[in-house]
Amino acid sequence: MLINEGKNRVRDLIVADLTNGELGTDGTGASASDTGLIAPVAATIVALSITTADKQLIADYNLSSTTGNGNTYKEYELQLSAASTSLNRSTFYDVPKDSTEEMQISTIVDIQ
Amino acid sequence: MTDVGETMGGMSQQQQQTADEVGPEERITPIFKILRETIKLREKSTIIKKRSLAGDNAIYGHETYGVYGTGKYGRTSGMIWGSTPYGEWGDALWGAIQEGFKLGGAAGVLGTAKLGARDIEWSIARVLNPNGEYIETFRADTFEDEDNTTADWDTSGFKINFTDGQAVQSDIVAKNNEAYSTGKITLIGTNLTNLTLYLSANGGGDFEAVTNNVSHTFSNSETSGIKFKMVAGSDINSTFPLTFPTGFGCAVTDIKLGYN
Repeated sequence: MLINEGKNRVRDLIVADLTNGELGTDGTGASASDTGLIAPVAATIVALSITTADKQLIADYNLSSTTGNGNTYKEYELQLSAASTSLNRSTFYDVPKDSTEEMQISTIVDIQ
Repeated sequence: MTDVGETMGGMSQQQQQTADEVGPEERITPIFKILRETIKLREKSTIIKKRSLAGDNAIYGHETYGVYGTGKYGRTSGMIWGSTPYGEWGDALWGAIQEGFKLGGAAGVLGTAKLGARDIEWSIARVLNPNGEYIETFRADTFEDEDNTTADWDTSGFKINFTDGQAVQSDIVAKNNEAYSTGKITLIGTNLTNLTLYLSANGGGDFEAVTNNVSHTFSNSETSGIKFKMVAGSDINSTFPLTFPTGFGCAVTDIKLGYN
């Protein structure tokens, strides 16, 4: 039987490998065959802050008011340390951002 | 009188018969059961928040809102740098931007606290759930609306515990600029019939009564998102007879909330 402490070890390995979050401007629906964002905005690459709970991780991303302005965001990904590898890609309805605004994104991932 | 040879022959036949009845298939054969187990990685909710810094704010060290002589400390009822009515040295007050830095206050420790609008409220722009299904397993209290929850959202025991008349209300659990038409909440737990369930599809403006594991068509729906609410009966701790082994009260250990 796979036990909880083993699953939490898997969680920790993923946490250790997660590095950055990044936003993009293409809202094409996500697919398992995606290889990252379709229209990434390099200025939005920011290091993640990660907290954990039992068989769960929460990856927090903060984009300051001085970064990534003038775009309408429609996609977001969590990046792994391996070169050009993404854990996920989420798409959403338009979120515009300008220099008066800050953005914060939290992603919750469970190990089952 | 029976011949010895005949007796031996009979014994041999009995042994042969026994062996035939048992057969080679009846021998004990070890069977190795292979239990298939998997570790699944499940992407749950993604929450996107924004906050505006626009206005008469000043944030110490901030590129836009921290420029000396340009950024403004305070609010209209406090100190505004350079303002004639609100910038009088020794008269107007510094700080108190939504409980940000206040000189002399608990959050105003010189050399430690930062000047500015640290507590400007975040607003939820999007809450995304893969496949249109919010799943709650109580590992964190991310979605608990603490101001409207009296039940015990227990992130150690991974459940919500209810006693008489207690309630739990969520923050927005789904929002993506859509007015959702239906929702179905499915609970796992104990004594769930003690709970009255509600869903709101207009950000908490109207909560509509729903039934566990039954699809509900919303009467009031806007793009402001979905919330759930559960209210325990007023006498669930005195229900008789006791339901062994669950006892009094009730608890929710898992929530699935599908919507479209």
